[in-house]
Amino acid sequence: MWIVRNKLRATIKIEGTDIEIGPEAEVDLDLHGRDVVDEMLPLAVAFEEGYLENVFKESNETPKSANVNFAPGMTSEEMTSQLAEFKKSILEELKHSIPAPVAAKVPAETETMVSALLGEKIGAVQEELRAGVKGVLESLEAMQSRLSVEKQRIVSNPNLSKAEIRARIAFIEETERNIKTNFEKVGHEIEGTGGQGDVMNQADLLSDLGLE
Amino acid sequence: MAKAIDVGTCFLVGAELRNGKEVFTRERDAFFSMPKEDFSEEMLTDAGAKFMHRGDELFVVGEDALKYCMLTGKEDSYRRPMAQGILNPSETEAIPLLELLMTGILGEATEKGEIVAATVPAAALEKDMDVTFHKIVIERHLKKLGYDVRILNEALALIFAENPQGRDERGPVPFTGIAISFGAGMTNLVVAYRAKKLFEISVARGGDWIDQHVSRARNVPFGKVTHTKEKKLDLSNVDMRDSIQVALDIYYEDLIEFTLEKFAEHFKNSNSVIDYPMEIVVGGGTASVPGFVQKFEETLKNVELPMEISRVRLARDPLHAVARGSLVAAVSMEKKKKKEEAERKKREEEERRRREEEAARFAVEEEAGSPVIPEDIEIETEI
Repeated sequence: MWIVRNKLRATIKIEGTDIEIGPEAEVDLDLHGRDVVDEMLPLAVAFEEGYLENVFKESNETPKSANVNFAPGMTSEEMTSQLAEFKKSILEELKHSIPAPVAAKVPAETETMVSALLGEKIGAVQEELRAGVKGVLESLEAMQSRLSVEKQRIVSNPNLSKAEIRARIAFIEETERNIKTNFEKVGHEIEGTGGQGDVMNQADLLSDLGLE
Repeated sequence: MAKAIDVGTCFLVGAELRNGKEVFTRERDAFFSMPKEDFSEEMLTDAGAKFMHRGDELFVVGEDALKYCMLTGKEDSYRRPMAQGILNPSETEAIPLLELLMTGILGEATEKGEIVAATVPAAALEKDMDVTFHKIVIERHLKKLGYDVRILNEALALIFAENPQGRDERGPVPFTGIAISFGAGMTNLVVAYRAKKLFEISVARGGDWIDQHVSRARNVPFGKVTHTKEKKLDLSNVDMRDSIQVALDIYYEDLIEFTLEKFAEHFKNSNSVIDYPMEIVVGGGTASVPGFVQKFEETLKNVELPMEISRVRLARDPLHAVARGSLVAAVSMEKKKKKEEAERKKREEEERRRREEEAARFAVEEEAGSPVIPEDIEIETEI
């Protein structure tokens, strides 16, 4: 489950998909598939620009049984209080599942034992979640930094008007959405038999003949 | 410094000068499509293949595409952005893939307005082909990369690369002769005099045409024919036990004969007359097969051309000759452009200086007030 909230008073539509998020509405992006959604550049931009905020994002690694969820960006106090609540609810659940006579015989021991066990498990889950959230944030940061370098390059070009800059950025985003490659250069290089002098001489000769 | 690109049906070749050397960057103009599955990207990365993904498909690009076609035998998945010398009209991904390959070979312009010369074919005689659209697509993309784009005929580029020498009553004439570029998709021919194109034709037959006919005649996969042609064929020493080589020899001869006959027919119709012996230079990937010039000379004996031929020669580096000639043209154009810019700046500077001097003279006169009138001059004033 990955719940996000639209912070705007307008509907956000993610181009090329059927995702629409009404004004100040919340949706579960995982309904569209986490792998697909994670790859969507417009979403990353919407987060970067502050149009969307994470309400709740379930880590892919989270065991289904441990029904604990932390939104990225949650403070440690909030996390601790949620964990305490979670611990309490599990204890309640366990108490109910243990047969009454047994529970009546050794209530204090059981509680201590379960509590220790849970403490360990919660610690592990907490670590796992922290790592997951950190990973998501890092990949988002990498994507954002790549995009911002390119944007910076365009914005700093003095020959472009504002409209051209906007159009170019839109083009880059569109291209990035459509095509992803694992390379920048193609082909293999071969040195020619002739040197620079040969080409220059030939070019001079052509210039003398008045090549248009 | 200027750059060049030969946008061919089979290969894309970029050319530039780097550290005092000519450097060519070559890539096969092809891709191999496969559905995107969980393991496929990892597998391709491990294999060191260059690929792109779009939607639910993965496209292995360049030389690796042919390897995957050979390995899997899936000929339908081996796709090419170009066919018969121009953008492949039946290939939906042609434009983005060709643009991607061009970007991968040339990169962005080093400085804004850097000249790049790109080659295009002439419209084919026997087919209605949209060469203009092809030209616009290439031009538009290269402009997007920041270049000042110059388009030229690929056979004319061969003339610029090889500088065939004509001869008239005054002596040798540079960049004069007949150039024939035997490409994969087309064969282009020009007659040039002093680097000017006098006559051009092209036929929609080339290396691919040969491969398709051999593949059909011998009932073998297209890829296998291409492989035999590139790795084994020697037209001066055909292995008669190899049925593919025999068929290739026959179709090579047919291609050369067809081109020369069309040339003779159209040149006669153009009413042009050339009185001096001309040299023929041949180049292009299809001409790079060993023994090609001998085969050409033998076939030439059977065709009556409207001018005398002094000799036939193969370009020094037939696969890169068109790119090299385009680079020669690009460097020449860039020199001219820089010279014109320098002259324009000089004129502007002179004009600025003249205006400044004029302004300074005016200021001196203003400061001095009315001109001093010598005493011996009387001024009559009418009231």
